Amino acid sequence: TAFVVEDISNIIKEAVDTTIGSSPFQTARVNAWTSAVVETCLSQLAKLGKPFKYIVTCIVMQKNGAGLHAASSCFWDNTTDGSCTLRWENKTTYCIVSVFGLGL
Amino acid sequence: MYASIFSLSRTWFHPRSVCVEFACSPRVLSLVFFFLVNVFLLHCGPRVLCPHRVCVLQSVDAAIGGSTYQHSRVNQWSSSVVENCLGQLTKLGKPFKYIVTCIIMQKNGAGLQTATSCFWDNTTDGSCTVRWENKSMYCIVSVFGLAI
Repeated sequence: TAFVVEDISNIIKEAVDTTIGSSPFQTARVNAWTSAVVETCLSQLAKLGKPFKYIVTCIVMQKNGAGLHAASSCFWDNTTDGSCTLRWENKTTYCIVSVFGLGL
Repeated sequence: MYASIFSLSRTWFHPRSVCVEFACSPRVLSLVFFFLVNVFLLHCGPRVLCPHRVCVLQSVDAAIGGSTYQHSRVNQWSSSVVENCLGQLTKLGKPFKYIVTCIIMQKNGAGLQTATSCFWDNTTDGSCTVRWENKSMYCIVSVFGLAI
């Protein structure tokens, strides 16, 4: 019933690899990518069957030299809740996925 | 009652006639106010309402305000935004666990897309996302509130 960061990280990586993979950044597709990543992650997390509420966030950004910084802060129970953030990239795209799990 | 609301909604786009009707029927005025408050609450979300949005906007303005994007300061800014938001939210004293996320991106033409998905209790939990910008950067702050 614990929040296992390694398992979550593998789920996220698989979701992003299958959704974006080596595709170049395309404005027309990025909306579908972000939706697919969060939905895939959430469905895999729900299949784990653990007593958690989950929040999955996904950021997809084009690589063109812009600076990007992401931060998060949580007011929760440190003994039952946890988070996992994965930074992924290919030649044209950055993708940052965060999963927050809050024990029931 | 329904006939009164319908007639007032038709006059909503004609300010002069609305003023006349308000002066004549205070009961209709209270019904319209009740209706508008509910529409506003529905738009904001079931549990995470205006106070949270106000907290976020104040925190972002205080941390970034009229600053220009600087790589050396953005780390401190994003930390400041999330910590200020969280501090203000906890002061509200509501029985929620909170998660605050902040994204700061330099404006130089890059495309950015964010998405979130939540597995929670729709009746008690909610979220609020605020997009802020100035001449040199974008800031997107999301607050998730999960009832205890």
